[in-house]
Order: sequence, then C-alpha cells, then structure tokens
Amino acid sequence: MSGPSAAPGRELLVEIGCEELPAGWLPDLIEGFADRLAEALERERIAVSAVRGLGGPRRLVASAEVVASRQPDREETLLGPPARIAGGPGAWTRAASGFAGKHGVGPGDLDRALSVVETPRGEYVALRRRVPGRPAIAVLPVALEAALRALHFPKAMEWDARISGAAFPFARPIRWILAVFGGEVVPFSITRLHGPPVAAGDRSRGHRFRADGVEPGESFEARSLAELTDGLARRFVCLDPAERVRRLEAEVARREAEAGASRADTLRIEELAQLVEWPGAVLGRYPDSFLELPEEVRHAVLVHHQKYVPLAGAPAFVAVTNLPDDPGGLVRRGAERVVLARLRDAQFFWDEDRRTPLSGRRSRLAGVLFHRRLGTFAEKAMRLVRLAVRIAPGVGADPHAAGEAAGLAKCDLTTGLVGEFASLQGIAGGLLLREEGAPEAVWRAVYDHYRPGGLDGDLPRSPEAVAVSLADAADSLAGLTLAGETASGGGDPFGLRRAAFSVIRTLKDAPGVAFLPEELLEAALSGYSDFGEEDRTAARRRLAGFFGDRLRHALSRGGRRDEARAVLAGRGMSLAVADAVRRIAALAAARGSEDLAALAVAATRVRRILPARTPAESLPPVLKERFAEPAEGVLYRALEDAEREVGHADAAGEYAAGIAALARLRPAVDRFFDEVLVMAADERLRANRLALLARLDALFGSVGDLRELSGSAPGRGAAEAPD
Amino acid sequence: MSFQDLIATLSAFWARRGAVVVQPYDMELGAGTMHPETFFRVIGPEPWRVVYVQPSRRPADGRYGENPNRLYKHHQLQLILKPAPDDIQDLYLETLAACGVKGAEHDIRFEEDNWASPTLGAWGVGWQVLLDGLEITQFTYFQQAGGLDLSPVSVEITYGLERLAMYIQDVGDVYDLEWAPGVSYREVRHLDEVESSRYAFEAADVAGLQRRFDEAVSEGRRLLGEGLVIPGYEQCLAASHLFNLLDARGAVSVSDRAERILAVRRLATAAAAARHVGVAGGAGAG
Repeated sequence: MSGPSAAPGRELLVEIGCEELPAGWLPDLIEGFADRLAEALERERIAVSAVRGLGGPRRLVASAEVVASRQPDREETLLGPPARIAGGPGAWTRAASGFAGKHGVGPGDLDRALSVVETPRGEYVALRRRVPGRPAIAVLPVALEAALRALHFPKAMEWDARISGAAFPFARPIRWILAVFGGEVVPFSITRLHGPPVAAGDRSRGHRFRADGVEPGESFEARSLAELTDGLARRFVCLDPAERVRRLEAEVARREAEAGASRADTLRIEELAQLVEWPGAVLGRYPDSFLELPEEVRHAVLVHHQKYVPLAGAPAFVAVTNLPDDPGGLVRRGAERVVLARLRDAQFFWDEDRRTPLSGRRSRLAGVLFHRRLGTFAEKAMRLVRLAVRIAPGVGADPHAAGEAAGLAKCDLTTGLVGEFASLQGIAGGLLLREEGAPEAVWRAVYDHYRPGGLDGDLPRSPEAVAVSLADAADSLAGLTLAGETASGGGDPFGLRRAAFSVIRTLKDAPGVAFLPEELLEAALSGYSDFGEEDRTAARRRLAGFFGDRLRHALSRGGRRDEARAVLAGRGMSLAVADAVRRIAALAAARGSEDLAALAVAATRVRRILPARTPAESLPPVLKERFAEPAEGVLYRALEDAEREVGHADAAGEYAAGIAALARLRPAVDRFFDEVLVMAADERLRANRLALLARLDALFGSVGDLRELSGSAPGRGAAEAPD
Repeated sequence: MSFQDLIATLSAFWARRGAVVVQPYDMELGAGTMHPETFFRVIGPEPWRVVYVQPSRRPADGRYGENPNRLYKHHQLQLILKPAPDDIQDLYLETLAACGVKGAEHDIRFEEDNWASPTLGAWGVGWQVLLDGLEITQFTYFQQAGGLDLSPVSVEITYGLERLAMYIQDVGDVYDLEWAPGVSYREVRHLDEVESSRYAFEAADVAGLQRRFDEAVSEGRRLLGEGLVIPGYEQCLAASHLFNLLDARGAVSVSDRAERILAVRRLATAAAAARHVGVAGGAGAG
C-alpha cells in the first residue's frame, strides 16, 4: 500500500442550504448529515478526522479534516484464462499475453505480473496490479450523494430533483450548496426536471432580512468553516445549535427579569431554539382581566397555539423571535395582538362551556365515536365507571368518588375548550367541575386522568385519579386490541403504546397500588361483553405480547436489559411491576459477581439436559437412597438450604439475600457437574439425577431465567419475536 | 391599505409574473383548494399559473357577527404555480413587502405545517407563514391530489386576506377593517354573517340538507359516469358544503360521518382520475 500523500490534512466543508426544515427534525438531521458523510467517506476510503455537524432551520453543515487528499492505492488481482491454455512462467501463451495486454501489461512484463493460482474451479492465470487511489476531490461527489440519500425524514417530499439521474426526495427543497475541499469547489450538482440545477459553489446565504454592515440577503463567499461561521455571524445566523440554546436561555432570562416573573415550566428552550437562526425574545403582556381565566387555559393558548413561553402568575409571556432586536416594537405589538385574539376566543369557550354542567354533557358522548367497532364514548364512560370502581380498593381510592369521576372524565370531549385545545383533555373537565363546586376528590381525578401518559410523565396525584387513569388506559388497551388495532413501526394512531406505558408507569411508581398487569387487563377485557370468548382469548394473547414487550422495554432502562428479561421471562404479566423492578435491581447489583455468572452458565446447562419443560409438580421426588456419588448428596443438601433461604428472602422481598443464597450453591453445582454423569446407563440413577436437576432448575427460576444473564441465552430470538 | 387594495395589489403582483387571474368559483366552497383551477390543474404535466380570490365558507365558524376573528365566510387569495419556481419564497416575501410589510421590521417565519384533505385525496408539505406570530399564509408543495402523485410539483400559496388586512391596518376587530375608502368590512359583510350563522345553526332544514346531500352524491356519480367531469365535480363540491352545514347543525351522527366523508372523497378521486385519464389519453371531454 502506498502511504498517504505528504500534504497536511485539508478541510472539507459542506453546507446544504434548504428552505425551512421542520424544527423538530433538526437535531437528528444535523447530527445525521455529519455522521452519514463520515460513513460515506470511510466507504470511499478517504480518511477524515474532527467531523462536525452544525446547522439551523435553513442549512445542514458538516465539516471534517481530510487526512489524506487521495485514496490509498490498492492491490488488485484479476483472474484470466485457465492455466491449461495459458502456459506458465517463461512460457506464456497467446491467451495469457492477450489477457495481460488488455490490462496494460506489455509482453516484457508477463513474468512479473502473471502467476498461476489455485481456485475452486481449477488453476487459472492471475494478474496482480496496483490500482492507484483517486484524488479525494473526485470521490467526494459520490460520498456527498450517498450521505444525502442516507438521511431519513418522518415525511420526505418530492421536489422534481434528480441526482445521478435518480429521483431525490428530501425534507424540503435545497436552494444552494456550498461544498469546498481545501479551498476548491467540489463538483457536485442536483438536477431539476423543470429548472436550472443546484450546483455546488463556495457561496452561502445569511438571514433573509438582517445583516450587520453588509447587504442583507446577498450571498457571500466562504471557503472554510471559520469563514462561514464569521460570515454568518455578521448576517445573524448562529450555526451552532448548542450556542443557539445558550443565547435563547440568556434572552428569555432577560425578559423574565424585565417582567419580574419567571417562566412556567411548559416549553423547552432546546426545542424553541431550533425554530430560529438567531434567537431573540420579546416580552409581551395581556390585560389583567384575563387572569380570571384559569392558568391552564391561558397557558394552552400561549404554548400550543403560539409556542410562546408563559410567565407564571403574571399576565405576560416571552415570544421567541428570529431577530436580534425589535427597535420599533412592531414584533412585540404583533405578538400581543395575536395573544389577545386567542385569549378572547378561549374566554368565549370558557364562558360557553360553563353554561352547561359537565354532567349535562353525558348524553352528548353518544355522538362521539371512540372506535368504529367499540362504539361511542358514552359506552366507554359506562365501562370506565365499572372498571374504576373495581380498581379503587386496590389503589386505596374511594370507590364512590372514583366511579363518579370515571363517569364524568370524558364529558369534556364535547366542550369548546377541548375542541380548540386538545391538550386540555381532562384538565378542562376538572376545571369545569371545580367551578361547579364538585367534591375535590372527583374534580381532581378528572383533571389528572390523562396522566402519566408515558414512562416519564407526572403521576396522577390522588388515589381516585390513579383509579380513573388506570381504568381509562386499560380499557383502551383491551378494547382496541379486541378490535384488532395495534401499534407498528412509527404508526400508533390509537395511542396504544402511550396507554401501555401509562399503565406501566402508574403500576410501577404510584404509591399503594397493588395490581398485577394481568388482573388489570383481564378486568378491562371483561368490560367488553359484546365480544365472544374466541375474540377475547385471541386478544388476551396479543395483549400479553404487546404489553409484555413494553414492560420489558420499560424495565430495561438504565442498562438492565438482561436482568429485565431474566425476571420477566414467562411471567411478566403476573408479577407486580414494582416487585419486578426490585428483583431486577437485585440481579443488576449481583451481576458483576463471578458466582452468579457461573450459575447462569449452570442454569443453561441444566435446562439443556432436562427433557423439554416438565411441570415441577409432575416430577418424581428425589430419592436420597439412590445417590451413587458423594457430589449428589452435597448438591442435595446445598439445594435444600438454598430453597429454604430463597423462600424466606422472597417472602420478605429481600431479593439480594435470595440471590446471595443461590450464589452459594455454586461449589456444589460445579462439583456435581465435574463428578456426576447425569445420563447414566442405569435408568433409575438417571431419573433420580434428572429429578434433582429439575428442582435446581425450579429454584433458579424463582429469581428469574438466569440463562438470560449468561450472554448466550437460548430462546432469546423467540422472546423478541413480535406477536 | 384597504381590503380591496390588498386584493388588487396581490393579484397584480402575480399577474405580472404570468399568473392568469380567474374569478372565485360560483359555488359554496370551504377553501380555495377546491376550486377546479387548483384541484384539476395541479394534476398532469402542463405548466400553469393562476391566481384568484375565493370566498370560503366554514359554517361551524359562524359567530353571528359577534366575534372579532371568526367568520362564517372569509376570503382566501389563492395562487397556484406549476412547476414551483426555485425563488418562490423570495417572491412570496416580495408580495408582503408590496403590501407594506417589511421583513426587516417584523419576524416572518416559515413553520412546518403540512396540509392534507382526506375528502380530496390530497396532501402536501409546507409551512404556515407567521407574521409576528400571526398565521397569514398557508404555503404548500402539493404531493398528491385526487389520490394521484404529482409531477411537476405545484406550489399553492393561500393568503388569509382578513388576517393579513387586520395586521396591515392595525385593527383588532375584523368588522373594523376598511374595505374601500370610507367603507368598512362591517358595512359590506356583517348582515351576511348574522343571517348565515342563524341559517347554519338554527334554521337549516336538516332533513332537506340530508336529502340534498344524497341527491348530490348520486347525481355526481351519474354525471361522472357519463364523462362529465366538471359537472360531476360540482356535485362533489355541493355535497361537501352540505356536509359542513349538517355538521354545524350538529346533525351528523357518528356512523354518518365516516360514510359521508367517504362518499365525497369517492366523487373527488373519481373526478380527478377521469380528468387525468382524459388528458393523458388526449380524449378530454372538452
């Protein structure tokens, strides 16, 4: 291999100038573009270092140091004619010289270039030659196309573009490309079906309207990342996403100080900062009279309609802008006017909605469809009442209040507020009930019943709210599964994942909840009396698969994948979720120990020897008098001790102690396998040994399927297969 | 700038750039997209540029003329450019400047907002354009219409005229807009809003609406079956508006809704397919 050229590394800079990219995609796209470009260069054998991804709403930028300005040379072997017609060294035939000539080897060089090699199809002439590496500049267009094509979007668009003749959908139209390598423009171009191509150059564009000391909107030359960053900074584009977040934090903090109020924690600055090229902020105010509108409603207006940052307790907000300043105050005035109109609308809905008591909306739920095969929300409400009442005692809730709340929980679906602000579902109903003077336990349960809504969501804050939340999510899971719905890939139109994670989070973390997943889901299934037993059986199986997968995912977080699999194997639905978490934690804590690792291997071995799953009860008892080797008795005594200790520990929920007791089995197990032949010729000896191992297997299983910890668990594929 | 000047300025701007100025469709439409000059023209290979105002009826948004922002009927200025020119965003911003909205003084942003109309079998990607936080325009690159993939890709720009005018004239109530010198929006439109709201929410005869809906659907099917694409499509438009009236009246039951939407969609996609085949095969009806 020839060494890289002696030239020092040169900078590669690419900027893909786009029409505004969706803000939510930006972090992945920025990182993805740089990563895909680095991968493509590696495939093309162009070594790079210091790869950086930058960008903003109108551009994806990647830069890298190219270590070698050309590909390394490589040796290549080409097969020619069969040896039998080609002769050999010193006596090459016409067939051989013709083959060599075709590849640029003259008659004088035959002996140096040709040889005879053995192949599976016999002996052939081989030509070895050196292929010189291509210069990086010639390879870069290929890598750039590959990187662009490797980007994925939640929704790509056709924009009548082609690269290398093939269709090229992208996130939004690309309007300019800056691609420079060591100061030289990379020859790359996107053709268009109905217009001029977008050809790479060395020019970029700044903010559409603002610039400092230069003409706004005009393109400028940049031949390095430093030039690009400087040029953009003068044109009010901040290229670094992290820097934009810092600037916006500072801007928002200034407005908070100005208002003497701090932000209500409902919007993430990280996300807002991706909406703009140059984060700025203005402070807006609205009339005090709107303070009588519940804060939740005001914040829904500001956050969900306008993406503004509400300030807590004050009739004020911070609007993020794409501008360094607002000298005429026009932006602030505009923002205030929009907010005023929106608040008036919200006030209208709030006033209208209060004219009807929430309970008066029950009958209207008959006009709101829950699911084509599952009927309306009126029917759902009736199921929720029964289910919430049934759940209540198991979560420490007052059944009467839980039932009342469950019957009212969905009524706000017919309110104007929820029609306008879907995010107020539940909350609007709770607020209206509070206004009516409903008991606190009832309105709070309605208010919170969409919580937690995910693995990290805030928990419902009262036992009655827990009951309604569990009833709602479990009813959706059971019913939608009965109706044949499921979540797949990116699609989850009915929110089944959300419902499953909501149930898991609540069962796991809400205080005083004593429900097993299978109990809860079974109770929910029983609410659908229209479905026959056959449908129900199929649904039960699919639900166990779907819910079990989510459970494993949820409890695997924090690097506990194997432990979660071990504990949940075969019985995830029948363990209390909080209990499963404790078992997993105990296994994880013991994971490093050598004894546990050895036992995991032993557990795999035991299972391999045992005939296919035999129920523990049907096994013959182990007969001590049939022990023929001392190691059998040693294992038997150790097993009896461990069974007792594990039994005590499990009863007390002290799983670490149980695992420690198991770990102490190791010497006896090791000795048994060293000294005893399980598959003895004597059938009675063999049966007794198998019975002993079956008891060992059952004991191992009390903690979990230890085989999952051995690193080579059998059946893993089966466990992962989707239902 | 008065409401009528705004319309004249935007229309003239796009006319100078080759757009054909056509008139509002003479039927009740929910949006400018349903005008045949958009729905049929975005399909097929022929270049086309067209601009028009479309009064757009949303019965459920009627507020008896009492809400400063919501209307039974508002006005959209609709532009279709096929193929979409590369500098379309800049051209659009020029139109705002022509109406007195200077980019350097305002915060003008393009925020992701994709458009889809299940009833038209159409969707596209694009943005809502925000002017200091106020949505003034829907900006869409069409990807499908009538269930057909589109190439070349058309751009649709829909200006919300009332909103834009309220911003430019700095008024907080739509009825305070100056429509023409000395003539307010209230004088031109208020009575219409009051009466139309009463009609939509109180007076419309539900049984009659249902009957007319069914008639429009079957008539549309018949006409499309005879190769009469525009007349068939007009029945689709009629059915769509009747559905919106029924909905505002609270008279669409759960089982009804999906069925009626599907019936409208079938007419729309059948019309698109019929026109497309006609064009492609050179055997168009007209």
